[in-house]
Amino acid sequence: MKRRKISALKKFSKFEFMRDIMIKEIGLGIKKNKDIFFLNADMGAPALDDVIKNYPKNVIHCGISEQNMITVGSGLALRGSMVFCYGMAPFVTARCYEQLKISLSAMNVPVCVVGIGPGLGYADAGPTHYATEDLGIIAALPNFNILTAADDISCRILTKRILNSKMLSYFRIDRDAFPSVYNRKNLKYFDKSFKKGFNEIIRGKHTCIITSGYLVHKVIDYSENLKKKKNYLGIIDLYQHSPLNTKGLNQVLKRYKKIIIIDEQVEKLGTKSILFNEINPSLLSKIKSYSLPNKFIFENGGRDYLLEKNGVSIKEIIKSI
Amino acid sequence: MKTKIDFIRKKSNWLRYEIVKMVLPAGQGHIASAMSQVEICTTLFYGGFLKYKKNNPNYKDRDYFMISKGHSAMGAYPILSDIGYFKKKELEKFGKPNGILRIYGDKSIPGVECSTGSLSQAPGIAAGICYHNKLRKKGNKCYVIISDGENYEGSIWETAMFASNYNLDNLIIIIDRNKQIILGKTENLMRLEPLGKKWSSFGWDVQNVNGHSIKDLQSCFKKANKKNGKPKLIIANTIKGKGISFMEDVTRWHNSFPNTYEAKQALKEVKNET
Repeated sequence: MKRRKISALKKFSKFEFMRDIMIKEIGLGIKKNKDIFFLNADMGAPALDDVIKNYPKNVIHCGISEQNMITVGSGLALRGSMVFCYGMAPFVTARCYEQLKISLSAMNVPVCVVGIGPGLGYADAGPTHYATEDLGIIAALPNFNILTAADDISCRILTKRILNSKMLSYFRIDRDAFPSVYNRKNLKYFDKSFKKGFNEIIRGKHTCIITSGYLVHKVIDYSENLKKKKNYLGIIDLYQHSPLNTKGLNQVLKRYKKIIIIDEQVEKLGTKSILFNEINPSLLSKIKSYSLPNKFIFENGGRDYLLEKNGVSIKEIIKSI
Repeated sequence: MKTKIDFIRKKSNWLRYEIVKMVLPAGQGHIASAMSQVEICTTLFYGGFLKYKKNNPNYKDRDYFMISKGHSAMGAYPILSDIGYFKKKELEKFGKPNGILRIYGDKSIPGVECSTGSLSQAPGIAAGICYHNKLRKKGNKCYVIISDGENYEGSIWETAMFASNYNLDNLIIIIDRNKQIILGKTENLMRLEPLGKKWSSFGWDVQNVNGHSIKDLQSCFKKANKKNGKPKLIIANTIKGKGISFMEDVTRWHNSFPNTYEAKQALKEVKNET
């Protein structure tokens, strides 16, 4: 079956929204364990209605007050609960950063902060709704596990992992519905447990692209021809930015002659800076990074257009390879 | 009743002395802020209001006690040691490299329920705990001491709204209303009044009290036990630096540290009361 391109997707497509997948899993979790709570800062999802109906006390409406939501989540966690704090990515990160630092990170409590629409996910809403630095600012906080779902399958598995491990985490989920990446027939190498920290979803020999979330789809879309070309191109879905599986990444990346990072973050706080601090220094000279400029984007045109206009044109990057 | 008050008064004098004795060798700490909350702490711990188990800071059925004004969290260390949460020797090591006690309270210290110092977070954490306790039908309460300066933080009002909406009548916040912040008097710098009306307009049950009167505090805490669906706020009117004459209500003592002469004087004054 031919894969549809993201650009062809209509907003309310036949594909299931990742947030619904996550919330359904949380609902199943609550069924078994009444000490799971879902806090929201005035943010919904179709699947949430069912959870509210079935478990009204486990869904706590906090109003549009992310700071309080985080501290309340911390308190519930101190009583032994597993807590999800759910809202738009920019507002559950930068807006309440001090609470994330002291009430969550410093106390290392089992809370999962769920950020919807990381990067330019809310295009064309403008800088207030973009989270183009969320990776870096959360990576600076100790104890946080940072996870990014790329599709329905990774979203489901990562949600289960969060529920089972009771770790402190920041879970990045796109707002739109995408087709599956991980049920593609030509993907043979990925680790279905999603415990490894990354998946080399296409194994190549010459150039490796490291990316995550929405951009995984874009890279796959534009690289069809290159992949066929003698296994030239490899693609890594880096679904866990923190803690980074440095050892595993070093091992995989040393096979490649060239490494390309494609990121929907500003360079100073994106994948490049996280990787540069941790991976084997001998790999650094192989790396080329494409990320957003350190400026506010006040433009219309949609996510792909904004990416293209701001130095992250997947088409051009793949062409240059 | 009178015996009980006398006992708490003695404990208050003892606590003032212990705080000064603990802090002086370290050369750091907010003595004046710790002095204004003394009677609030002693009445809760020694007046039978706070449920705890000696020698066991993690006792499951305990009430939670938090000092959200983290700079004076150290004011409770002598009590926490007195009830066996850690060894008394630790008080001598306050602020020193080999000690577990720091100026600001953090969760690594036995009996300190959450990390404080960044203002206004403990009330939200307490609201989460109270939500859980109420849902599980546990009678345990959360007592949180906040500073009046903390009322400037926006997130405190987020919590005020939340606790009221969820009828958290097991949450009791006590404002240490010493009327001072670092730069001066609250009412001269940025008006807080009418503070009680603000809280009551958010749906809280508000009481005003002399924060150094043990009798008044006892009566307030008794009333605060009422299960009326409203979270409780006690405005405890206090004097910053209470018990050390030259510090009382003097702005600079928020973060000034006594010199050798002043230190001797302070110690002498609080010792005379014990």
